[in-house]
Amino acid sequence: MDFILQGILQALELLVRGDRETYSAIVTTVKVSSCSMAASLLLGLPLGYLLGYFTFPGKNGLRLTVDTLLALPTVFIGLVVYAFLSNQGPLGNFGMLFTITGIAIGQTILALPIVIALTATAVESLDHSLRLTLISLGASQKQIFLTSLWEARLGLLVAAIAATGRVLTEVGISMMVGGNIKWHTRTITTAIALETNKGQFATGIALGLILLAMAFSVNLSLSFLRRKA
Amino acid sequence: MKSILQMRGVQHRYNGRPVLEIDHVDFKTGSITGLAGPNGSGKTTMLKLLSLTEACRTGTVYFREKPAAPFINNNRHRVTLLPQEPYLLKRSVFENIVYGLKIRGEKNNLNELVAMALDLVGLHESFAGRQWHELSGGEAHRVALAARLALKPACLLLDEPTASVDMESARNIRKAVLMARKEWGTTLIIASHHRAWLNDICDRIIYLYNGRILDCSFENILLGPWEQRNNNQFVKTLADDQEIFVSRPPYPDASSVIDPKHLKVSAATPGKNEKSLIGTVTGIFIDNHFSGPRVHVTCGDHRFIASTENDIFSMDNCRPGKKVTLIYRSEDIIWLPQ
Repeated sequence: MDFILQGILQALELLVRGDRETYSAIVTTVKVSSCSMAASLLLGLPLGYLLGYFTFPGKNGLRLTVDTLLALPTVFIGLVVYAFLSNQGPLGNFGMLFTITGIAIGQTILALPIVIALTATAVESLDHSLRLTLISLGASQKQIFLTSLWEARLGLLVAAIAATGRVLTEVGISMMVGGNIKWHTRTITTAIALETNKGQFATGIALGLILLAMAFSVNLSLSFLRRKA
Repeated sequence: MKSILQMRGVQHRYNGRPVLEIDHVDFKTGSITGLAGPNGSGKTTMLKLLSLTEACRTGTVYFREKPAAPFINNNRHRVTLLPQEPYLLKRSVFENIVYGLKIRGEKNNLNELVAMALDLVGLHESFAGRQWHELSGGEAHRVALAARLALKPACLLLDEPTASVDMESARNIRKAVLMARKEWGTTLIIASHHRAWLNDICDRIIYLYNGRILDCSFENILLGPWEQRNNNQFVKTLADDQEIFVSRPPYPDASSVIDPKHLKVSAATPGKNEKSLIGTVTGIFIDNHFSGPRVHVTCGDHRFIASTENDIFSMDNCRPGKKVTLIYRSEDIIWLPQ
């Protein structure tokens, strides 16, 4: 049990001492997850709104597909993205394999169904008289879209929290698409996997605690936003 | 006076079921029109089409004699609807009231406009700082009305404005909409089950039944089935075994209606082609849209609204509890659309 206590102490030491390798992993994690969250929110919010707001043929089938994609294994996404980005793949010319961009693409695919499904649920649960009220006050289609999203803001925050949690903690995509390259594509989760393989449990636990602290900070900020909303 | 809104050749369906069929109806600028009718008669649909919040499937709505439709032009900024269950945005009262103003590009004097709108509906301007969840049902309704009045609309449509509010709120709503007409010449179209309220406030009342406009009020509805007595005479037997005579119904379970002006309380014996019913007076009231008083008369399990002369003799005969004779003609009973 000593190694757990040792891990906690080491986490503090790594942060206080300003360990360059640890900070590199933290920065890479923040960069990758920020990019993937920005992309998934930009794409997922309008798509989730369309899915939740409108009725169209095939809507139930589409909803079922999105819900199924919530359970996508990260290693499977990693495999597919690897296949597309490798030299033999259709996007091989872009040279995105083993880059932060490559990991961000994979994580966007991971987060997108979460954002779409939870946004659609939040929009579906809006009061049906909202649309009538907005039109009667003279709102345009764009104003209806923006106001409806704002009315569903608590549900959208939940979507963002859930997707951020999944993106921050995934290891399969970062490992397969990023290659766990030191100073370059090594994220906290891939660093934990590496340290554990090397038998450096204390360092692994230290990095895990740092990841947990990051997740806590993100949730704390979102919870503050939720209270303000 | 010019028409502000018109409907021509409108046929509207929901899931294939016809809900509104109107050949032609128009609303004069500055008028107050009531829409009356039972549940499902098409009042709310008519309001949604007229307020340009929903597009006509067939037919056209005209605003100031030009075709109008949702999202197409700025006409929708001149017409606004207060739904039966108004939705308040999850924001403060102030933000709710200025929402429509901001859409119209209004940036100046927002505080004054909000205070004016709140004052019109009888709420103190301190209400502006309240959140949407800090309001009672009646207050929320009045705030929603204030959000419409702040727009100074050319046409304001109200769907059951007094259905879920107390007496004080109903009084404030009445006062506010009448002020809108007086100050800005706002045309008002009001759907309500509250007949006395409509009678009191409206210049004209349109009666709807099964999505169509009736030529008379619908209070005296007689439901089928009908018993055939001879080739051309059919009857409905009331609970006290009295019979109402009608002409041949268009289909077996057809419903019919008799306008109160054709159902008269009379001391005279029925003339040729006239029929009579005996009933008990249960009430008497004044109808602004009719020159004389109206009388509630109960015959068996039916309560009719009948007319009477506005003289002392007739009024004395119409005291509640009195037995009276109602005179009518079979041909004045009209068949309702299926």
